[in-house]
Amino acid sequence: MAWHRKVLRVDLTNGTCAAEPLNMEWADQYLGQRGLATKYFCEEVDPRVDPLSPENKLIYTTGPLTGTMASTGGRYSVVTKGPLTGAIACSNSGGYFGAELRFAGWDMIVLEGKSPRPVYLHIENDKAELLPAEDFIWGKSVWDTEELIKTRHQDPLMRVSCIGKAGENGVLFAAIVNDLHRAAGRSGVGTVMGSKNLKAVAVRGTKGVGGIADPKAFMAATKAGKKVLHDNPVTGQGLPKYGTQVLMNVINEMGASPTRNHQDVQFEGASRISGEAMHEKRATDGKTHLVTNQACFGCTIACGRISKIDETHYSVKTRTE
Amino acid sequence: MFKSLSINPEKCTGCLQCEMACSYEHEGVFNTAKSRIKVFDFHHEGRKVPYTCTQCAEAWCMQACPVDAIRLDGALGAKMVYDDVCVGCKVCTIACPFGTINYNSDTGKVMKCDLCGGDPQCASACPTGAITYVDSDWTGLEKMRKWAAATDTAPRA
Repeated sequence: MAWHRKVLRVDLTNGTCAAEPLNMEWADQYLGQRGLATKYFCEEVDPRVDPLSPENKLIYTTGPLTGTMASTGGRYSVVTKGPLTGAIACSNSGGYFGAELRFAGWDMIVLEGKSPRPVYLHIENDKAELLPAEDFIWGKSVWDTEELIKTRHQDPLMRVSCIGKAGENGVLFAAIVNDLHRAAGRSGVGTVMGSKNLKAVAVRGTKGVGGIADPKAFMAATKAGKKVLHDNPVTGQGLPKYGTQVLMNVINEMGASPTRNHQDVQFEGASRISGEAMHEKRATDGKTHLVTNQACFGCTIACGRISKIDETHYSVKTRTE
Repeated sequence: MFKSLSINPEKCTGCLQCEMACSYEHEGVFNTAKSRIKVFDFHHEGRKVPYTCTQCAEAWCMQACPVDAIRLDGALGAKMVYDDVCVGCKVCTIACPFGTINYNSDTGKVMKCDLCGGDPQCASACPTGAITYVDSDWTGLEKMRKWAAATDTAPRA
């Protein structure tokens, strides 16, 4: 498969970045992404470590299809020991970051130790370095962080995965957010990143993903896969039209909708926040909440939504920092 | 009959399948950094806009090239870069008003859309039909059809 066979190991304590070969035996056995990173994690980390201690590790991982034309091939995962449950945590995210990491020539990043000062990791193809985040992006929101990094490096094509204030301040369910609105939102991986004084990972890659053993067969297989997604009623119609919110009414009817911190299983206002409701024209200005669909890298489903609320309708006002 | 790439941003989801197909066709790798077509994400407007060379009739890049490395392909209407002649001076990248011809530091040559020999891979790869390859003299046909339907107010049976 299209592996680069290269892992970036970042020692935050000593501020060093080093390349090492990907363990291909494990890659073959555990496929990639969650499976492979979990294997690395279990081999390298003592299960008794405190999740927020320097001994815990944080692994950014991609799969063999990440960055290729395979539909939905843009995802990356973050594997660590979760601070909320103390169990092994895996959180995955879409957007464009995962593919960019592959384009830079890396399959995985293993982050270990703890930086003495807040830093961010800057990767440009083979070159990887830790740069100071203080008086720059530390303390900033994810949106500001991404913009500031792109401005400083004068590179609008860069992709950024970072934590916001929640991750910095130890909120136990903090997310890692990339491309502004895609999140590795589960299991508090952002808190672990914050505990290591790591604010962001910024990547720019121009090498691409190649080395496919049988390109013709690969292209035929990915094309066939896209057709399956297109012909399926959920991935071909439901998700493109309504997004993942297509499930809101269904799950609510089933009594499986977590409401008020799971005190209830049905929400009385479900139909007003469903995927269908996003298509309805609102009374205040006659526009729909939904602006357009937004695909992640390489995804032919495009279940993401760009929507705009009617600001006058809500009591929460847009605040400047 | 010449054909042209026709782009409808309203249908674009920003999946970048076109950029990958383009780089794969020309470079043999999936690499959006080496794509001749780029999708721009106007985040606050919620718009994604693919953009590439329109194959100008009086192509600035072709006129500006001091070594005659950019020539017209008579069968396709495409302006082609001949890598064996191109010296990588980048004058064409300055001359092009639209920015659609760019330098590739890996090869030391410039690169631009060549319509893939008449089978543009971006159009084949696009899952939503935002990029199509249509009759050059009728790139407005779809828009006309849309307006024809909208302005047809006659009563229907």
